[in-house]
Amino acid sequence: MRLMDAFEQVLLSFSSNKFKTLMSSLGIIIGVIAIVVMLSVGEGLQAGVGRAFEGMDLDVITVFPGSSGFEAGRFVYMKPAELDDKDVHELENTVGVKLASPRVGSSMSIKFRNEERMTSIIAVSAEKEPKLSDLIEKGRFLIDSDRSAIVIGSDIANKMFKMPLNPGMRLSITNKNNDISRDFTIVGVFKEKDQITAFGDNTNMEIFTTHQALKDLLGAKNYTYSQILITVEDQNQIETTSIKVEESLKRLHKDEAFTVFMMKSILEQIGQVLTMIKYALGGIGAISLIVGGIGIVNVMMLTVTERIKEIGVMKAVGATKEDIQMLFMLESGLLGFVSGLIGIATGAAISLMIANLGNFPIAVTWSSLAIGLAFGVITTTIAGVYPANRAARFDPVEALRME
Amino acid sequence: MKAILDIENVSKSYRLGKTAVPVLSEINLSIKEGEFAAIMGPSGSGKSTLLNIIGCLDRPTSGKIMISSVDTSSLSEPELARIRGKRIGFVFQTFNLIPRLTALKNVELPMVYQDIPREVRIKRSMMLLEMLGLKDRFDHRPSELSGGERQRVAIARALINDPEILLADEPTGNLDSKTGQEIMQIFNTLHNEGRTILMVTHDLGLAQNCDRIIRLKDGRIDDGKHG
Repeated sequence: MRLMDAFEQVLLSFSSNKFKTLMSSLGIIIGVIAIVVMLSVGEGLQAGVGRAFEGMDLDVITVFPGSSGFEAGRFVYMKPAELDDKDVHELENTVGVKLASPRVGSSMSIKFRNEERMTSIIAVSAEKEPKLSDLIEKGRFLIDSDRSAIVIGSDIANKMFKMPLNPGMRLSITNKNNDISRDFTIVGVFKEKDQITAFGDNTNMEIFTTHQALKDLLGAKNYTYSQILITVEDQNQIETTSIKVEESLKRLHKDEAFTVFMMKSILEQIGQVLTMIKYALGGIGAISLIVGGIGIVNVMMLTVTERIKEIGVMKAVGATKEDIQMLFMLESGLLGFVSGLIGIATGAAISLMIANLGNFPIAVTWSSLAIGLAFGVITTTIAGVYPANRAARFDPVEALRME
Repeated sequence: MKAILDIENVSKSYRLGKTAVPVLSEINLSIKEGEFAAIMGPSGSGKSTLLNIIGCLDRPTSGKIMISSVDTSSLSEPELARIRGKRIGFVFQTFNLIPRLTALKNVELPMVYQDIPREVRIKRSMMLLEMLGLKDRFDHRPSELSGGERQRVAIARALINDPEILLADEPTGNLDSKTGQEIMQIFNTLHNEGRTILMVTHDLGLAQNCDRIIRLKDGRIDDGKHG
């Protein structure tokens, strides 16, 4: 039997029982819709999170003192390493390191006119922070010799006090722990950074100054760095460099705890989790498709039973087992293909609708559509195997005797 | 005339639980080319089983069936399907047309399984429908045709691959006597054109129309010798 003739017969069989065809395809359509929508949501989630992390520094290794304290599941206490200029020097001489920029963070009270607010202040080595320097919108960035200058984030400038702050304005900063107070001049304001992130800087909400200025406020002799940001020469070698960094620090801090942290590896882990979420969502869709597939098995079995006599006739006029098998397989496969097409079109439309109405990150990709269609066709084809084999095996004499 | 069908020692029994129920016992029969033979016998005498075995729908338990010197009892399933499609034409009591298909498509069906191109199929089917007086009914479905018309479509279908032998199982059994006469007229015409026809019937009047009457009784050919 030629494929074209089989197609013709299958189409005739569909059109002769439109209601049954529609009902059996509905299960597949809904399953495919579920897969496409779920995958689109997952894909959108991934893209959305990816956007949020865009512009993050993937070429940076952060070193800070202390560790989580757990080693091989056992709590281990180690004295936190005290990071100072020796470490900075050592790190800058480590292979693969371009820049080692020490930072100290502290919480301070700032007073402008009569308003007083608590905020975090970060001391940096001005010459080693080209990225911060690039963020200046108004005024200038810090220079290392500044002793009473600050640069502020856009939220501090525009939202913290009744009056917006601008370069040239003065305010006082007080360390509540020792009541040391100093007057500072705003020399620059950062541009607003469009970034949703739990990691790294949120420059919008921070005040930056020089190490010398913070040392004055802290009044302590022992000034250690709370983190050192390392910029690597080659982003692709960051893993190797991070091992080298760890070795360098181990030499200086034998029994002290420090942590070497890469944004890149965190991002990779997040990416892996999101991929898992995406396929888990797709799996939920696949379950509904399997239910649809069972529906197809039922309908095909019913069709086979209805047509036992016809199968006998077909065999009597020369149809082979393979011809009968092909007819029924084609019937379920074609049902899956057409239902799959309807399903992916509807699924894409629903996804885009949710994206528009719900302002939810949804991305309809060709691969989700292909997966949806493939699953639809595969499910129905598998669902067709048993009924088709049953149909092909009928004894023609018994089949013809059926009424 | 040479024999187109030779049946040698054919027996058929069905298993019913542990016992074998014989339906046909040691049938020997020869049908010559161009012969029009009737098979008669009471219900349960094995007429239809014999016809099904000749038509390769069923296999004998023992014995040989030679159609044009080919032993069909030793053929594989696909080979049997090919013989059913090409060398045998079946006409049933209940017509057995596919309800979804038009008269034309029903007639074409055996050619479809022989991979014959569409143009050839349509040309030959239309010719047969015209010959059987159904030219203007070609696009009707079986439900839109009368009983006689349906049987004529079934006859056209049986003739489409120009079979060596036409097997008819009570072809007038579901028709009124007038229509039955018309169908018999068609068989007579086909016989006169040289076709070999083997027909199962209950109707002695119809059987007397034939060249030969083969009587079956309890699964044996009743030639008078067994009482």
